[in-house]
Amino acid sequence: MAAKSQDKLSFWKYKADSVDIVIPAEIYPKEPVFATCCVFLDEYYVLIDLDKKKTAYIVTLTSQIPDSKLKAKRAAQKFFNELLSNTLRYQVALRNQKIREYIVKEALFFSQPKQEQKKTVELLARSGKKNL
Amino acid sequence: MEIRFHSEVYPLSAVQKAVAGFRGIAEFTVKHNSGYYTVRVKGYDKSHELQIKGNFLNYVLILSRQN
Repeated sequence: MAAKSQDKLSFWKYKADSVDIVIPAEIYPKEPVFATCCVFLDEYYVLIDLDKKKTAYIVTLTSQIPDSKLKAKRAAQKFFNELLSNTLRYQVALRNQKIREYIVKEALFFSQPKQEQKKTVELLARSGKKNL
Repeated sequence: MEIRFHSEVYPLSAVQKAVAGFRGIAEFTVKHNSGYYTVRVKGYDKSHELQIKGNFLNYVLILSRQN
């Protein structure tokens, strides 16, 4: 089994038909790891595991068709690019969550007929909320 | 064959739903021990072991994401 380090924290080990990708759990949350794995479902069988110390995810990509080492290596490289992109998307989504909720609430409120708007305002006043 | 899913990564409901979906292909039993859900698979066509295991893995992954 050959091993190649990408950097000090994450690396991959590739076998004949599969590649083990080690992802530090401190840096990458679970959601983007799952999202990234789903990108590879068409070409690979995917298993996510945790190491004994629970500090890293170990993603095993097994080729659905017998593969070359080169392709496994390419899959690992593509995986890290996808992971980075999904992590960024996840962080932006978290950061913008409140504003997205606010915009949708405003849109739903103003799409109601005037009478319904009044009812909503009354309900909010009764529940002690000032805003939507 | 045995397939192990880490209980902190995969929810039990996803494993159970996948087992229900694959019931027609083989016999499945699920046990929880030492942080893993261990799925034992029996009575399947051994020439398709990789495909059954792999598709089961992918199905559990999709169901876990939906949870």
